[in-house]
Amino acid sequence: MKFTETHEWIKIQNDNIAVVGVSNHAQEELGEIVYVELPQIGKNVQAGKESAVLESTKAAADVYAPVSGKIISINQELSSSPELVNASPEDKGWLYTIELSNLKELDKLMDKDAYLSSLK
Amino acid sequence: MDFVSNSDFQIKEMLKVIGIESIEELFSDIPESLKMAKPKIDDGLSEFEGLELMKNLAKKNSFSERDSYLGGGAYEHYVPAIVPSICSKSEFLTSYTPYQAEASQGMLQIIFEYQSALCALTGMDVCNASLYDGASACAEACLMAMRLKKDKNTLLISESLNPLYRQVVNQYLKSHRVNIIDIPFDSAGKIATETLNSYLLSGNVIGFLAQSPNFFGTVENLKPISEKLKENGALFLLASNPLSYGIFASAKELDVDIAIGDSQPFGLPLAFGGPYVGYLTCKNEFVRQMPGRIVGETVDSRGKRGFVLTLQAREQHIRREKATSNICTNQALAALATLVAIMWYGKKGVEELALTNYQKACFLKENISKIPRVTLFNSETTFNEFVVKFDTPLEEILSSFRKNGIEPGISLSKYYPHLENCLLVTVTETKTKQQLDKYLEILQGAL
Repeated sequence: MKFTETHEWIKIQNDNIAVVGVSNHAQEELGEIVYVELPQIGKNVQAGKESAVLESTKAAADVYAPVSGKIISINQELSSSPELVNASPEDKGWLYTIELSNLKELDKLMDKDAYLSSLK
Repeated sequence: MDFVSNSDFQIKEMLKVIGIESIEELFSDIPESLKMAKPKIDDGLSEFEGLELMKNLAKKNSFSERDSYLGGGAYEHYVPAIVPSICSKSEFLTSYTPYQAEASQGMLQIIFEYQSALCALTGMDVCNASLYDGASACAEACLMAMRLKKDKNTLLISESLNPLYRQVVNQYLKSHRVNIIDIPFDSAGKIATETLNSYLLSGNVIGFLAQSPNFFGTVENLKPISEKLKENGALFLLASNPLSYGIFASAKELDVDIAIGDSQPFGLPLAFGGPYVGYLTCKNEFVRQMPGRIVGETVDSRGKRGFVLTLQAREQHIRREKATSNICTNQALAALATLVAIMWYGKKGVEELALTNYQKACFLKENISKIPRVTLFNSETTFNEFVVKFDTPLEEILSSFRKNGIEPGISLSKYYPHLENCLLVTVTETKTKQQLDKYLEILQGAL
């Protein structure tokens, strides 16, 4: 699992398909999440650009794509249970899967230890 | 928060600290030529003299004494006495938009009740806290439809939509990449459905914005239009005079996706065109793309009923350039007037008021149609306004009416150049049989 400075995580599932979500720190900062706006399946996103929106009771935050690629699937459960992002941000609260167009982009991201120490 | 101005002593002290002699020195960088000279104002008038001046100026307004048959989006209805009496309570009259919203429970409750009243009237699932007027409600509905159908790029708009609303829509959409296509009206003043259907077939249509009763007062046959739109995956946006819902099918029955309009007919005086209040209602599934704010009902930590601003996180002050819309406000006081009027009339009263408007307009319409050399624009069902066609220049007819202190209607050629010598006549419940008889008498004499 790799992390971005903007608090997203990405985990390779197989080959060039990866799962994307937000970190535990991100969900703590946002508070109770009430709505998740996910990208359309098939949409091409660019690393660092807006890919989803998390709405909490008092704020709305953009989720940036950690890498460039095509959206393969989205977490359908979040439409009825957005609170999964709070309860299990780095597992059941995943947002979407993406087909990476450039695997080298992963090298620019932090591992968990580096990410956690960046928060201190 | 009190405002206490600085005393001379304090000013001197502050000037001393920053090391200058006078406040004017702070502006010494501005060239003299750009500074405004202090305007010369004389002693003015006393309160009594001022009132006399204003009274004399007001006397020059002759318009309020005329019988008006002008409508076209702003309607002269009786405003029940309870409306100003409640709206003038200072808690409502002087309060600004609630920033610490939950501290203003009374304000939130009236907005919640207003939303509920408009939902009851239109039959729609949700209503926002109100918009500026019918025109901006139409424009916001278009933007909302565009957000809902991001993969399409064509918006169809009926030419019988109030042309002033259309101007505002154009202004709002000017910088958006959207293709706007006019759907004309046929010889009966109704939507040309064949043209509409041919555009729908392109499959690229976001939605269709129509008005019913339309600008000519004609009630459109919307059920088949609505079905056709749904078949082609397009949204149905409908602007309506909310009073017409008293006797005609609700937006819900017509399967409208976004129902909008101006609530002025309920509780708001003409007031030279504003402030009015726009309503925007929609189906529940589209609520996330609704502009503005919504007040929701909830319970507090002790289980007591309370009201909160919901869906606020999408607004401009939080989402900045990514906000759903730049509307961060609503027309709370005008919405309250609408609410009080609707509540005062009640379910049965709204129906009766709508029926009275319908009947009085029909009475004048039918009697006009009996006058030789005058024809009706169409023989369709109309609601509180209708169009009359003359075979003589309209100016002559207008001047005979005006000599008798009557404004007989709106000349349509200003908005539709091909509708020459056509007059849009509005009759509301405020007109008596005597007034309508006088109208007919003058018209007969003028021809």
